Amino acid sequence: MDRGEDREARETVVGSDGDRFLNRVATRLQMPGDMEREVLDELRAHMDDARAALEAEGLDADKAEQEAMARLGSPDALGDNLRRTHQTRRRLLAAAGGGIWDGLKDAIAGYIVGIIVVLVAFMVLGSVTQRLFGPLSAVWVTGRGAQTTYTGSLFAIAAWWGARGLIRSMSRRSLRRAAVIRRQIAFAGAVVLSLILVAWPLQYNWAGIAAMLAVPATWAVAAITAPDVGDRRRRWTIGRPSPRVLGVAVILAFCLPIALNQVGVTVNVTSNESGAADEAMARLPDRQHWVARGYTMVTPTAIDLRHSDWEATPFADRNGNVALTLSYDAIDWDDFTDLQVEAWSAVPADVDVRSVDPRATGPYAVIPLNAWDATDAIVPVGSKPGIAAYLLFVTGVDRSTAERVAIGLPDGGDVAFTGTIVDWFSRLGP
Amino acid sequence: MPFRQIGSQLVKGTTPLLVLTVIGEGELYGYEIAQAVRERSGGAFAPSEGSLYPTLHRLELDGALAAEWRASDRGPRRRYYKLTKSGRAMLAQSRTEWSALVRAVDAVSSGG
Repeated sequence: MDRGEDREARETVVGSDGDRFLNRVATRLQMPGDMEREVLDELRAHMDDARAALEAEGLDADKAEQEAMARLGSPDALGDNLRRTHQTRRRLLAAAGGGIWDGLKDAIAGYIVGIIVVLVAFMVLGSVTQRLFGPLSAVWVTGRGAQTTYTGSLFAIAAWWGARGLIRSMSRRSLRRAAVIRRQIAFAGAVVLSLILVAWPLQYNWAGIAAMLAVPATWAVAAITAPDVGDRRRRWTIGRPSPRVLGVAVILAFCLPIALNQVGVTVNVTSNESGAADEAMARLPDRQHWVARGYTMVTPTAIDLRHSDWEATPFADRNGNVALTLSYDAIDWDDFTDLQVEAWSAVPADVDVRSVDPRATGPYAVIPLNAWDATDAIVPVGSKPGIAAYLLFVTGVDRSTAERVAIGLPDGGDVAFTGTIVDWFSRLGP
Repeated sequence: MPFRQIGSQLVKGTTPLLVLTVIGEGELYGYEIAQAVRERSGGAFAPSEGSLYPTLHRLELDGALAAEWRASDRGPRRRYYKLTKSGRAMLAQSRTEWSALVRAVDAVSSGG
């Protein structure tokens, strides 16, 4: 119905009592705004006709209006009957199916548009941050935790659009006002998304946790605040973009980083994974750190994790583990007992001279080494929340002095916690 | 009024048949439908105008009726209803069922 038709529809003679009658009907209808207007316009026209006919029969205007209303019966019953006629359970179930499909399409559209929004936001934010505080660590830009942050942000935008699309579609299809269905959709969607997130192992840092927790929260807020279909006071709601707009969005997603880089909006990463700083590693400023924690450094090195005495995968695998294979000859097994690999938290922003996190009071993961079983060690470097970089050390108890000593030089890399959100919170703490 | 008005429960059950019948003779809007039923029954059938619109909407949802808004030169625009192909089939079936019901009721009430 356009505005002209609407204006014409309202040029009626129904008085204030009639308007009150129709308002009572409307409160019972609980239909989307445009559908509600159609029903009320039909009833208004009927009341006008009835009133005109009764006046022609000799009734005065007030009595004619009262009689016209009386013939329609109770406004509550009329509204209830009309609502029951339109809002059937079968229609609701069908609307749920169609609505989920429409919501999914809106979520995908939101995800695509979100690529641009998040990309620009991250680049601008990163650029501003590094101008204020210096180059950013890889952990915040390219690390796996950062990828989860990026993904979570996209999912949050997709969740917003998906929730709005689902409610809009279900409201239209089920002929129920958005206010009638949005709480249930907000709750159900948030629960489903939370369950998926809880069971989904990813690589997290704190920003990633926040971004992923924002997904069900965003869904709930979008659903609770969803406007009624046809509500003319809230036209600012963004609908699903056309395929052409989405195509442009995809192209922009590829071109924007280049364009932003050209105009000076760029994020410089200080360094990356282990192995990129061999020269600097040799300087190893951590010796004092280890000594201060009661370790005796055994030098010259019997083991240098940077070289072929160990075959290490510096990148943690999908489970957050680093696999080490020790050369049997690297250690004189008779000199030590209780050999183990220790994973220590390191400072990721200072990779050139990667050092142990000064706040670390002990290793966060310890794996025993055994000379009899192929000297392999799978070290869960991604098992501790909040650890952005790690250093691996081999330690053992010197048989001659009976004290634990650090053997050789450490090596490490950037890492993100690997697990579910529940794992993250259950492993928080010292 | 030549006849006593028929009980509301009985009228309620026959409203779809009455509505389909009068719309089958031409496109009408709600008020005209109510008037047509009342006049043609000599006032015996006066379907509650409150039950008329749920019935019309139900028949439309069932595909028996098609509705269209039209501007009016006297007052607001009105929603006209017309019978669809499915509605004609429904009307024919309703008439058959009604005839069978009347025969059965007659047979019982006449003691035959």
